[in-house]
Amino acid sequence: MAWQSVWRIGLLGLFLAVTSAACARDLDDVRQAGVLRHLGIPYANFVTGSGDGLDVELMQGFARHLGVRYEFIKTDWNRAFGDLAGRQVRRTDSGIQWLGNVPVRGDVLASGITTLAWRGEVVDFSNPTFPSGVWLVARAQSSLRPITPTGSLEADIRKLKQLMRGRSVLALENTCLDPGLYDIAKTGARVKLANSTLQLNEMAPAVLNGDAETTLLDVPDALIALDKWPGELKVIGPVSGNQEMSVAFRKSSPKLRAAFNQYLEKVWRDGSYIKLVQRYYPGVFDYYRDFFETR
Amino acid sequence: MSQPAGQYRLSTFKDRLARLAGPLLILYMLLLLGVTYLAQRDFQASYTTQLQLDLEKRAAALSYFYQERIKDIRTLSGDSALEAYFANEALGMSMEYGLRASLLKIGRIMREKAQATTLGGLPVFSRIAFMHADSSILLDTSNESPGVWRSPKPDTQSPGGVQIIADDHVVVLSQPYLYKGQNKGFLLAFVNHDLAFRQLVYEGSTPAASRIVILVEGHPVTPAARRSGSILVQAQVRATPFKLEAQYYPTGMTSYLTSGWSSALLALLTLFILVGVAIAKRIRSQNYILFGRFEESARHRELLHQQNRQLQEEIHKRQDYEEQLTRQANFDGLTNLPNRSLGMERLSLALSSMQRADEFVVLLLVDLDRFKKVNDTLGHAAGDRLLIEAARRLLDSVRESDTVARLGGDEFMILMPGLKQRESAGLICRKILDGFSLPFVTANYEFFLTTSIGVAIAPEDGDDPNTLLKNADIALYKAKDEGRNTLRFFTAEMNERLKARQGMENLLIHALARNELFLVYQPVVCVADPIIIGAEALLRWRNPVLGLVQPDHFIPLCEDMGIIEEIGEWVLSQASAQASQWHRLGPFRLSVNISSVQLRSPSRFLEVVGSILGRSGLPASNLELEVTERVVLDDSSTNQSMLRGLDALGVRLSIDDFGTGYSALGYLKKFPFDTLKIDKSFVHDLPHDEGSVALARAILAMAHALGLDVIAEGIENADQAEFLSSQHCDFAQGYFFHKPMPAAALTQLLTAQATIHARPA
Repeated sequence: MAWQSVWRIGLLGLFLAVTSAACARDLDDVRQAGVLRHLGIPYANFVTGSGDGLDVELMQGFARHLGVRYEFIKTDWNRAFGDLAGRQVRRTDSGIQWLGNVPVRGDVLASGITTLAWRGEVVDFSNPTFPSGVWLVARAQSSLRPITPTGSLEADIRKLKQLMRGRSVLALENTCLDPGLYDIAKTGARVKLANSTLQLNEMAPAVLNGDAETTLLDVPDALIALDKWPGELKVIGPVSGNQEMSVAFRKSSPKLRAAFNQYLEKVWRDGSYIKLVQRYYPGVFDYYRDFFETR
Repeated sequence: MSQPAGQYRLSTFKDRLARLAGPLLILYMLLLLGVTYLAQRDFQASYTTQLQLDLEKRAAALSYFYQERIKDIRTLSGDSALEAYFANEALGMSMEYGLRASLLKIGRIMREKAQATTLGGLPVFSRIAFMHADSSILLDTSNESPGVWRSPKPDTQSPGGVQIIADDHVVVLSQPYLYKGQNKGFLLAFVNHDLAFRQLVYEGSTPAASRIVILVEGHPVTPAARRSGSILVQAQVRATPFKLEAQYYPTGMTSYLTSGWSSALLALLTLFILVGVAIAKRIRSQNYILFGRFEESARHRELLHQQNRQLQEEIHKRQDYEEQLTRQANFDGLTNLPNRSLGMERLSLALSSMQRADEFVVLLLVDLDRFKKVNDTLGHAAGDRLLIEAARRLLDSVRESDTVARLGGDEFMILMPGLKQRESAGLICRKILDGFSLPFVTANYEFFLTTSIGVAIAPEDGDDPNTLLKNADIALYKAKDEGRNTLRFFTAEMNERLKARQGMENLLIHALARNELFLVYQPVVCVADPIIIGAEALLRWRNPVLGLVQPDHFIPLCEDMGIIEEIGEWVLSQASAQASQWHRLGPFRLSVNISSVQLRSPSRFLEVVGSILGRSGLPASNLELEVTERVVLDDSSTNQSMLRGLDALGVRLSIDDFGTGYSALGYLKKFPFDTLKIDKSFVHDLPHDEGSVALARAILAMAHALGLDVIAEGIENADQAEFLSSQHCDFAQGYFFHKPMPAAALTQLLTAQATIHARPA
């Protein structure tokens, strides 16, 4: 077992060395290439799919900051990390599972990417850019009643999970709504995995459509859904603790990540990032005002 | 000093104008005052209206402002965030998980609304909050004491709709929020009222110094003392509980125009003017009295002047009248010569002044020959001009010291006093006669006029005026009687003859009444066969004193005395009556001589002839009236018409004494004569005088040629009768045949002649 671990680590190191050598594209390469390739998945207001979004504008600003051209590379949740890292990866209950190599298609992955542990094994995250969490959202007609907050997030999560038994929950693997991340299966709920083509944006409409009684929704998306369909959805309670979103970098692009963090720091201080947030997520800004203002 | 009429009228007009000016000015001032009062009132009303409109405009702006704010609050309340919040709340969501997001969104919208709604760059809403139905504050944009709400509070019982709550400088719009029919609370918006008031109500220049307050339910939101003299207007701020009340304090000209003081000042000014006018009027009135007195005095003077002038004129008139009377009394109006009265007076004076024995006073009486004919022919106007010319010629003929006076008609008197020699009188008379030798020209006629002059010399022909005048008249008569155009000095014989004439006249005037007149008839015979065919009636006068007077003597006297008409009528009447009797014995033609004097009244004469013929029964054709050539030559229209009138009666006309006068043969054809009588002077020398024979033949030839009968007068012998017979003279009369005889004798002759002619042959 130990050998195996060493082997694995050694193999990984070799792989990383090989891939790093083969796909190394850091800040200098980006500058040299004169283009910053932004990998994005249309999702909520981060990447709207219409050419704009919070992360789109953030990356565009970053490209300008670097003095290179900006290029958007559309991807999806199944291949997003592979497109960045050059190798497909899949979360498993025990960690991650590397799959085959894939071409590196982008330099940064920014699309409301929740910082998750397994993802940290695949990519490096920048400093947090956005707060998040996962709520259980049900249709208004659902018999589920929102929990009464206890003042403790953990207690509230437990209280919620007690309610989920027997309830159908819509989830999406490989995303932040992956039910495996939150031990949904243990609650006795009936997890309904959305097919791979379903976008995160389409989770709330699916619930409204009766595909499931409830769904997991990250907070930014939940707030948008509540605003969009007032009175038709209701937040039952928290599924996760507080989460953050960040921009993902290949682990072989530390300079690029550092440059981004520097850039992020700059725009945060000069308030331009706050304005972007207020523009794309005014509700979230109010809701997580502390996150944005106390940084 | 008299005033010209035009100036006086102008002065009177000015006076009337001045008298009228006072009342007119008072009327004008009262009118001005009244108009000013009305204008001021109208102006004040207009000004108030202007202010009212201005205030209403401001109230409308304020109303519009609040309506917009109400829209704002309604829009806010309609935002989906509110619905989302209450929906989420109703779904049981907790603040920690989801609900807070909705609440935060509402808060953000409120802030945005509060920030976006500005007026003049300043926020209109000072605070927007959502008060829960339980009066707890759910949201509040204000940083102060969040969650604490002080008054005013919305009326929870009020039905839906925006309430405007005003309380102590605070105006709040309250919009109740219902979710699914349930009141969930109130959206409250604090209006920055001071800003709105300042920007909208006080915005722009006010028409005058003003103070505007907002009233709520009649009470000012901000207490403000009202100053006197201000104009107070109010305007409702529509759709709000507010009412604007403005106090305007007129300034400048507006203040003056609208203030009562200006009216009072004007009234005082009017009073001053009226007092001034009254004083001026009083002064003018006194002046007018003085002027009136002066005018009265001037009028009196003018009146006296006029009366004096009239008196002077009257005196002059009377003097002129007296002069005229004197002149009329003493002078002839036509010739301007002294009249008879003055002439006699001067004669008397001259006679009384005659002192020396070797001095004479000569008196001439001058009479124009045949003046009456000229007067009748050419008319009185021509006669008057003739008299004036004659007077001038007389004056030219005498000395300056002599007096030429007109006694009347065509008779003048010339008084020549102080003559030393009698012969001088004759010389002057000759000069007078010579002066008349030149022709007179008048009415386009030129003719000669002569004078006859009678001369009497004092003292030998009389030493008193009347005697002298009478004697001069006798001398004049003599001159006239002796052929005119001559002079005669008075003699004693003339006087005697005159006396005789006067004695005859005295007898003659009674002759007819005393049957001293009688007729004789000289038969007219046929020359060839001397039978009596008629007779000429001849008048005779036998006076016991004078004896038998010849017709040549008394008939002219009858004409002069004016009794010839009466006598002539008597003759015609007597003769006609007698002839009528003779006419019964056989055809008988009665000839009667007619004086020219009888013809002066032709109508009467014709009437007399007709009447006599009617009475006598003598046929008109058996009466032959004889007229002399003088009558024919008179040739007046009167004579012509009279002769034609007689011819019309059927009376025969005979021209008597043919050849003795002017014998203008034209009249024979012109007048309707039947018979021509050859004067005895032509017959007298027949048949031995060749001239008489030639004349007789010529006359007979001419008469026969004209179809006239011819009667030869004065046949005294057989030779004459035989000659006339040989010359086919028709008829004759004379002593050779029969002397004039009384009617009875002729009756016998005619009876015998009738007997002879009645005897069978």
